[in-house]
Amino acid sequence: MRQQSSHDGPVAGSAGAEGRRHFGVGVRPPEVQVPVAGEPAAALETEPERSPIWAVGGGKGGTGKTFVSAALAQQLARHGLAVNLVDADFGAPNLHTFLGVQDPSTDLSHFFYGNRLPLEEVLVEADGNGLKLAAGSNRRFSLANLEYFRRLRLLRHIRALPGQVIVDTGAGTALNSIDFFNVSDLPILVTNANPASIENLFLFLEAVALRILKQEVRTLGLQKEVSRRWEAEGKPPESVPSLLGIARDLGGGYQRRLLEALEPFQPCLIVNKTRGDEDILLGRCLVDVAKRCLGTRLCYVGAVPFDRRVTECLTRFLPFVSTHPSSEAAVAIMLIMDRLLERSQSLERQQ
Amino acid sequence: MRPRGRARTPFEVLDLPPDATAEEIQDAYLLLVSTYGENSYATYTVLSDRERKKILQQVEKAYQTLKHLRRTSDASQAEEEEAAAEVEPPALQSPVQPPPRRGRRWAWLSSLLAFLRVERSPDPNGHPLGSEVTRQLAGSYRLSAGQYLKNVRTHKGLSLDAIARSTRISVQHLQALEEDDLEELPSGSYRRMMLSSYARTLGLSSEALLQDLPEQRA
Repeated sequence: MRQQSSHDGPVAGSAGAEGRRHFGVGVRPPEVQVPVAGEPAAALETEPERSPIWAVGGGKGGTGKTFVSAALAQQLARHGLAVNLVDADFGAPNLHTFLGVQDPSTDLSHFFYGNRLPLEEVLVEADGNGLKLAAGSNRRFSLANLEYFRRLRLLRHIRALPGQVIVDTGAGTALNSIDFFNVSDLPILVTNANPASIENLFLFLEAVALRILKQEVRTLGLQKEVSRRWEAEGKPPESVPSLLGIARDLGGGYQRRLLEALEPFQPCLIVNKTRGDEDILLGRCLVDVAKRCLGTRLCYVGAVPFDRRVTECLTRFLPFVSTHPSSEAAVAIMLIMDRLLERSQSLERQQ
Repeated sequence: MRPRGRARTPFEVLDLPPDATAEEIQDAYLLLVSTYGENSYATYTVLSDRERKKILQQVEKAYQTLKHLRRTSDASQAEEEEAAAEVEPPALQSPVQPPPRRGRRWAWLSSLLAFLRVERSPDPNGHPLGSEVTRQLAGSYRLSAGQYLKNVRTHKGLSLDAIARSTRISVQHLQALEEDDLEELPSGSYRRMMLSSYARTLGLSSEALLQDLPEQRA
């Protein structure tokens, strides 16, 4: 039933974007989709079966976003699902290294430049079990600052991939990371139990929340009014509470509208490299702080215990999960996968 | 985060439904103490020290109110519940609760002590809650030995019967091991032997066992 896309034609993207947060800012998708010329109208009526996109992000570098992406993908593949991994950490790609793929024959530079291969042809086999990887490129530095239209094309192609997709995003609050995180069906945050990770986690969370709120401000046609008030208040630091405060002062139920726009954003949370019960408990604490202070509901899906064999595997170019399938960390990832699948399915039912 | 207006009820402060049980109230309170307590970094960069303390005060006040409420309204019900309850929560509602059965006495005592520390004098240097309470609050997010064994077994495609045949441990006992149902299991070294025998059958070497098996509940 899946619509097989040809090279660079309008892939299921424009139609598939209906009903969910769209990529980036700018134009909002129209309420009623107009069939694109050259695209069969029937495909628009019955929305093609989409592959669920899970995006892994979280601000701080070194928390284990890439490890979690690779390990989740490995467990999903072992579970019998067709899984595609996309390394969207364009500036510092190493998902392939975590999977023991030392020199991928094709990578995303082949997708973006030159002959511009379709994403499906860029995928390389990794770790058996039907796991495929779109590797980041060590060849092109310009990938680090990817233009908006290129990201958009990647997203269209990702949507058309058959099977489950996991996107590993880069550290920091660059729009690239935020946008991939934002459009995914299941955003997943990875943090460690230390103040530096928490600091970056909340910064990232607020950046994503602000992007959603600003989009809604634009939809409501309030940009001018909001920026006028913001300047009148002496340009306080941009934050979710300050923006909501301005909306409240505007009256007219705008604050409620903004909160409603934020409501569907409920990322999952994983605490990685835990070294005891206190670290595991921290996940529950963060859920409360995010709700109370940032108006964002997190869904804590589990903790992964620290395992120094992760680094050992890395140095020997071995994928961790298939090398140590019975390790506590691999089993923890399996339990997390169960929770994520459950959540993914319940979100799908809601739509 | 809510629109300004009416004051929040104590239940809302603790993020609980109005029909929350005494145990849920206590759990929520402990979680919030560990979130907004003196040595927590969960609010780092999001709240100033003053804001954090303010939330902690609100939580404290809400909890005191609810504790009082529950104690008066549940006075008769509590007796029945106590009789029926398998595990008594750490003594919060009344300072003199009958100590639990043998074997749990230590856990009960340490959680009681941990709790007294919270209520009386929070340790300025350590985690605001004792290790027993922390473990309890980590709850289902904590990988247990049983969950671990069960996952490894199912992944290897082995049935409980197969394990029972090779370990000569009854299926009931194996099931109890997997569910961490200590009530159903013999205590002490015999239980440890069962666990290691089960683990060996799954192909976990003794070395791996030490590394992999999550620390067992006492």
